Amino acid sequence: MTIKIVNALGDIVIDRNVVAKLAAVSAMECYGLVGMVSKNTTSGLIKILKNEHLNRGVEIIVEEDSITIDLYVIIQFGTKISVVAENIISQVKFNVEKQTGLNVNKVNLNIEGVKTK
Amino acid sequence: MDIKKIDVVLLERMFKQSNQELKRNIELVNDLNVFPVPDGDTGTNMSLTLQSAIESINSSKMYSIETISKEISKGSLMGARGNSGVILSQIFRGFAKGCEGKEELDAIDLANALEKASEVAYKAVMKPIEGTILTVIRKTSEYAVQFVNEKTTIDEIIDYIISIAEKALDETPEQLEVLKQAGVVDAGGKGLVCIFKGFRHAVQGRELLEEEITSRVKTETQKILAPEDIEFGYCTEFIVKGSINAKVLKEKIMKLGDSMVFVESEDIVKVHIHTNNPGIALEYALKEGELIKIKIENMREQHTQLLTEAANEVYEEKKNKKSKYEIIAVAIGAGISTIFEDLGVTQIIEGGQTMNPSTKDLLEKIDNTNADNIIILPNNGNIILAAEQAKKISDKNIYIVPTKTIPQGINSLIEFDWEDEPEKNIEKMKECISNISTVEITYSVKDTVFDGIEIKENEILGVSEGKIISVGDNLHDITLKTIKSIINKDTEIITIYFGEDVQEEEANNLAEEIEKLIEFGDVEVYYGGQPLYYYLISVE
Repeated sequence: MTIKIVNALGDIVIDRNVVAKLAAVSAMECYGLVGMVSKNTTSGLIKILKNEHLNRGVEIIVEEDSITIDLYVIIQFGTKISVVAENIISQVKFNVEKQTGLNVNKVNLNIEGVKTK
Repeated sequence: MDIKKIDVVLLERMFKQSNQELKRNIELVNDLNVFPVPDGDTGTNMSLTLQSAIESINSSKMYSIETISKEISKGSLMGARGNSGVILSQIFRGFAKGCEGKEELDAIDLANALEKASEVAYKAVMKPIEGTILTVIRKTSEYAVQFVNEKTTIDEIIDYIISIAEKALDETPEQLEVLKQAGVVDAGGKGLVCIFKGFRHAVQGRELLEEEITSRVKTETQKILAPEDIEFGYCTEFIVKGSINAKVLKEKIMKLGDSMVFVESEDIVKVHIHTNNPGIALEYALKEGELIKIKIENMREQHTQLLTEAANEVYEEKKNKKSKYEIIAVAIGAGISTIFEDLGVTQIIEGGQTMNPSTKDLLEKIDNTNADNIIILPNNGNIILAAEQAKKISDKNIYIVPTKTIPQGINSLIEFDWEDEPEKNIEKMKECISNISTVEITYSVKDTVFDGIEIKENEILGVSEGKIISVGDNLHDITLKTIKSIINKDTEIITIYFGEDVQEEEANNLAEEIEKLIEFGDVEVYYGGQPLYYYLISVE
């Protein structure tokens, strides 16, 4: 699936995976986030993702003129989850909007684990 | 003044001075804020976080270095705001760890506490960005630990800390392009320097200002209320008509609940309130006049309904999805099967090393499927061939990912995307297989010689990528030895699936030991429940 930006001079087509990667990388830079997990798992198993697979922890939902981003993450123990979550959401939204020009409607954060080490 | 040690009184003053110094510089720090999101609130956030820490000290019952530093840690955690606030809370958390068991802090203790602070702060981020507050705390602590010796006074160490922190701060634009472009230093780093300067004020004996009145903004955290969290269950609305003593009525009803709205005009009063006693509210109103337009709604019920509706929608969406794929995997062991199912495998064929399923078994499963594309994960070198035979015979669209081990199968599924085209999926999955190494720990079923190694019956074998690495009697040692042979500094994730003959505790102990072997990386342990193999381990 792709995201299309229509322009008088031609169309820009961005692959969903590209947006996912952008979101994943900006999320990873966020303070308090220590890992991403695969969204494919339905229960129980949490698979920590290695660097190159990070975009598997991101789901991009394309709507008419905006996108919604779902993130599946692990947070460090001892941080205030609500605040870390707010930070991640604003940081990802800011970065994706800045780099793609797309309108990010929502960033949903699913906290799947806490790292205690 | 030559202060040799920080006592609890001084420590408290240090943090209070920091708080004041930071407050004085809020605007300056705010203006520097361009990263990660240029919203100009770093100063405000840091200051409010520190303020919360100070309030926590003020309410502390105990008074010692340890408790004060713990209160700072706790208060800043509870009151953390924004990115910089969260980082600051982690710095204080580490600082508190460094103060554990201390009655006084000398210069060495202070340097060590800073080092601990830096260490803890770095733990909470996957990809630390240099040129931020993190860099400032790290450099400062690194240099401070080197600088300090038994003779160092507190005055000296704090002066030194400030000079290093300022230098590190000045270098931030070189490390972070965004700062350079904006022509600023890092805001959070600046905030940290302010905190260190506050330390100096305290050591120099500067007087604390009268407690300033600060506008404390309550953190607004959005949360989805569970039905039981709704304190007052009934939304009650009515209009009272008559010659009403509105003031009396208002006061009476207000006590019954919250979210009160009271509108009065001439001889009519409209009341809206959330309460658990709608009846009582109505009784009060009846005494004042006639009731019209009564509406009472159960909010918990409404809310539950909303929740169920939302859940149903998700369910329907999933059900209606046309099945584009079905995945068949060969696996053995209850844990392993569950993991595969979690990852989207629809059919599992029991089998493995000693029990190879036949082409016929595979075909039976294939006939059961009802999808456009079928993916088979053989998960064993000996089963790939049977799978290929099945593909030839069947007239369905079958794709085989040549996974030779269970961990390969599990990892390849991580790359699988239900929405991608089959060719793309297979390509990605194949690539994924090549990136992981598998270690298998099993035992010999008979005396034999393999690769020139003599093996006795029941001896434990450590196998890496199909090669026998070590043989012996001790499961723990053999496993560690085999893993050591395969890891390197780039190893990121080690996943252990323990078999039916291994206790979970034993597996966890092993994981702890392995964790020590790799510098940056994670070790995960799952129940596999497989027979024959004590451990199946994947190394990425």
